[in-house]
Amino acid sequence: MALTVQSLGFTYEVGTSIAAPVLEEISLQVQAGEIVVCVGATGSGKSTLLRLCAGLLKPVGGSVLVDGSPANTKGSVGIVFQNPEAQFFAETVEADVAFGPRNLGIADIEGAVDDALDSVGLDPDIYKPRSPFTLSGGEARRVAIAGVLAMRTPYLLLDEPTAGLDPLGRRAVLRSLVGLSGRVGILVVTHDADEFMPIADRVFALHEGKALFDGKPGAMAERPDVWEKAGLSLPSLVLAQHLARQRGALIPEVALDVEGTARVLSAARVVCS
Amino acid sequence: MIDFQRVRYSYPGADSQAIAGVSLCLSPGEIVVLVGANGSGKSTLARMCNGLLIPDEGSVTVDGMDTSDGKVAFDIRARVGLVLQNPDNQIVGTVVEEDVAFGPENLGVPCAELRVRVDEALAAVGLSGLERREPHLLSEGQKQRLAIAGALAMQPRYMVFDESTAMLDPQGRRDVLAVMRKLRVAGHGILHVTHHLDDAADADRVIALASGAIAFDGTPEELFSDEGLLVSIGLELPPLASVATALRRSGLDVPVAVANAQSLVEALWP
Ligand SMILES: Nc1ncnc2c1ncn2[C@@H]1O[C@H](COP(=O)(O)OP(=O)(O)O)[C@@H](O)[C@H]1O
Ligand SMILES: Nc1ncnc2c1ncn2[C@@H]1O[C@H](COP(=O)(O)OP(=O)(O)O)[C@@H](O)[C@H]1O
Ligand SMILES: [Mg+2]
Ligand SMILES: [Mg+2]
Repeated sequence: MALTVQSLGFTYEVGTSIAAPVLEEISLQVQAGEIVVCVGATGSGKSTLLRLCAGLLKPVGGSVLVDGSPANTKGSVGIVFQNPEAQFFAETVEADVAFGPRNLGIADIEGAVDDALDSVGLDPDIYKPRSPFTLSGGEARRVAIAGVLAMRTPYLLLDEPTAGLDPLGRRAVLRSLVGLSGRVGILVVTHDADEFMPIADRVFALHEGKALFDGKPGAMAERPDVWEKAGLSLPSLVLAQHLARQRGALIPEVALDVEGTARVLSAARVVCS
Repeated sequence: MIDFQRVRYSYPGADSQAIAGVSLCLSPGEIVVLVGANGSGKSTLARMCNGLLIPDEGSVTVDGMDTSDGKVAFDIRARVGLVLQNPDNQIVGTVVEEDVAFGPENLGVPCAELRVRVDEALAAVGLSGLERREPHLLSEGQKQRLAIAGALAMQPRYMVFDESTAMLDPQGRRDVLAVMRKLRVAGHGILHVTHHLDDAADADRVIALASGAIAFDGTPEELFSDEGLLVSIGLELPPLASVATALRRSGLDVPVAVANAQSLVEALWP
């Protein structure tokens, strides 16, 4: 069971002057229940890749298969766009979140809405009657994610789900994604490598439409060359550990989160002096 | 100087004040970073800097001109460039270069200089080569860069950036921060609204808003060393500063406000 991208290629506006390939020979797998984090510079093709995975664009070459079927099958892949809260339209959170499952003809709409809100840490009894337009940034973003989750798709694609959120909002979204993993296969595009590396099962790096790296976050953290080639800076925690190594610190394995980095640096410091 | 004096503002029909008694100033040649939780009033404050919103009480003046005085509205708009949070609300041209030229053209900049300004602004944000691209064919990060170029081309004395780095990749963020530092050297005053507290590390001053009021106004070092205050207003230390705090707790001698990985490591391995 997986979302499988095979030798995917894509070009916008085939046959026009700007018809340069945006994606070339991309292969990638999101196994059921895992979190794959996609990084890459602006314009590297991340949003385009998500649109192809959701079946919203047709590949120019290669294929996207979701558990063996073509990606455009209704109900197999949910996508949360950048700034999704701009698309709220209903008077209540309940109506907004119910829209997707109703369209898909899901039987237990009420249950789908409650489960979806629960999954993003919002109490359905409190939030269902509220107007989506009066929510805080973090709440609004999570309601938008719930609207996609309510369709109960086995795969979820998210385009920069924490951009523009304050720290509490970012933390809430991250927690929601961790809570969903195991049940939903997640492909998430982000610039917040510091915050997403610790929750990733795998990291996929794009550079000018081509795959640059695909592997464990720990392995990616050991490859400054990949970050540089991708036009990205190393996450600050990872960078600190590489700089410490350059000064002779003994760091067997680079840590990804705050606690780990503090532990690694203080241990190295003790050994050193 | 942009000068806020005891400013209050409520949106029509709202039951609480979005700005609840704010006094602050922004001088030419400084970068002031404005932080605060979602909904704390940052965008409202940003929109008051050039008269897009007018205070209900108190005053906002730009080099002595009051934003509530309709006669100077044009001069104020020319002097204060505002890059909105959502670039889609700002893009007007049918192709990239036309969009950038729109502002200065309205200011009456002559044709020859217009070309130079547009090229310089596009180069500054890394969009050279996309002059003839239609804005709706740009990626989100490229649109944000375009909005910044449009404001740069007007060469206003003050620039207000409302979360202009939110959609950018780390390199793009660094590019825009570098543009801000260049503007500072050239004597422009910059107000930078951001959720990235690490963007604040090399600001001259940081102002934190909470529920429409100023909860903090001081140096980045002072703010970073007050974790209690940060948490109470819904913010938190950037990851690297959290590591520094953890290391200090375990008895190591590291500074309070670490601006970057380099300075943290230099403190540990001098
Ligand atoms: N609708 C479109 N038509 C033509 N070109 C596009 C369109 N959307 C994006 N592009 C171009 O495709 C490339 C990849 O864009 P995108 O997938 O949005 O990148 P990312 O999400 O990594 O920033 C960019 O060069 C962008 O200008
Ligand atoms: N157009 C509007 N109409 C009514 N209320 C608004 C409007 N824009 C913002 N608000 C409210 O004003 C407060 C401050 O919002 P804003 O300045 O956008 O905050 P920030 O930029 O810090 O997230 C919030 O409570 C928000 O809900
Ligand atoms: Mg994108
Ligand atoms: Mg805002």
